[in-house]
Amino acid sequence: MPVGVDEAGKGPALGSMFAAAVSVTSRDALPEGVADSKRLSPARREHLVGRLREADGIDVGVAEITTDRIDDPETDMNGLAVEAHARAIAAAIGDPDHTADVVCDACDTDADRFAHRVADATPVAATVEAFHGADDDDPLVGAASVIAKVERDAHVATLAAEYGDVGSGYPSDPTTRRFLSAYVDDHGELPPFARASWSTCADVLAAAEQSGLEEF
Amino acid sequence: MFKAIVSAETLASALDSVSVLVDECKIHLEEEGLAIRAVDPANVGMVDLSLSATAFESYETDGGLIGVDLSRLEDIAGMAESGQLVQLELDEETRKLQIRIDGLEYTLALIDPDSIRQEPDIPDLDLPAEVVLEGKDVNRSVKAADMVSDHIALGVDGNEEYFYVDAQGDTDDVHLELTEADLIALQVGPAHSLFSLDYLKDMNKAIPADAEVTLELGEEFPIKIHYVFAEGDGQVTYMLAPRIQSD
Repeated sequence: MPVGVDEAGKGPALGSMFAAAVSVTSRDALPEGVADSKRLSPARREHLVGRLREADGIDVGVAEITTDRIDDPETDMNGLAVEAHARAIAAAIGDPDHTADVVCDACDTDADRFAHRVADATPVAATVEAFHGADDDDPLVGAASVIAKVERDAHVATLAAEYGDVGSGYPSDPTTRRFLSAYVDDHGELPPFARASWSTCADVLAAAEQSGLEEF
Repeated sequence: MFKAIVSAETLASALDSVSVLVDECKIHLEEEGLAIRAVDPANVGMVDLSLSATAFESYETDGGLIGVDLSRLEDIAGMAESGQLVQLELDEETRKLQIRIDGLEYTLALIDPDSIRQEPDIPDLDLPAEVVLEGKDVNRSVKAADMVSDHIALGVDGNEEYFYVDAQGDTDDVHLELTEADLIALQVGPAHSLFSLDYLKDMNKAIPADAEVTLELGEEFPIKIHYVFAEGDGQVTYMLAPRIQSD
């Protein structure tokens, strides 16, 4: 059965990374208007996720990789992306007797290597193909990208509800950088959901530790 | 009025020690020599330099203050070959510095000193430990620490009486101990402070390998680094604020 997979939140300095898999009995089961999550508005994404989760013949699987795993010196992002994809595929394929025909957005510069690694890591029988830009070209991967993005956004919204505006979590986001600096200034440490191994976080910590000559 | 002739090496050494911290600086033209004091924009690293009139082949001034773009001036000094002399003359009318190296004439536009960041007050610190070592040992310490981390701990062990360098990376660590036998001199006192390697690497670049370098250290206090160049006629003091870890 066809399965599309994609991730969200690989690059941010804050919060978990998510992978989502969408498995369909037939590609015709997909609702209209599915596209790469980046090209849809948040409201449109939420609406689509509701339809995907309710539709007959569509199963959804989601895997979360927490910041503890990301910061673990034994892991690397490529390996964790592979693991997240494999876990999402397994979660979307309820029945292990079905063979999954997986298409994913390549999460590695070498698309074929990524496909091999995902196939090896997937606990159910699966053929895996990976392409760059598959979230844009293949509606099934697009559907997975929408779910992954909505999961990641919900996760960030939960963090924001507890800690205040954290921005998108991306290192390039000024709100995220301001949040990190202010948090470290107040608490003397990074927030628990920061990817401490990211250079953005290390830099913020270093900047907070650095005293000025005027203090002496 | 300012008119001076100096060897290219001496000029370059003086400029390099300041340019590692700032892009522009004020140069005080005093009867006894040149003086520069500057602090980086974050107020973390400071340099205090004096180049005595005796370091020059000839030196004449009735006092004054000029502002210079250091990289420009360094580039010009870099045009001189080893052993060549650089002639500097201030044109009071145009507020430009005439620089001559053999036949080469360069007219350098000066910067309004008022537009340059204010010179720092030097914190008056009485630091308990003093380590005197060779420039090459400073270089070795900084280089080793830089392989594993972005910061470096410098301290003195009071019981065993040695100076140490510690750097802890995510996976690898570096530790170096220098006893009194390895050092030129050691005055033991309570000292352990953490410093940014970004700054120390820059300061280290300016320190000649054969210079005798004095480090003054305390516990979570700034470090003072002194050395002389130009056969003792040039003096540099760096001061660097520590990194302070909350736990």
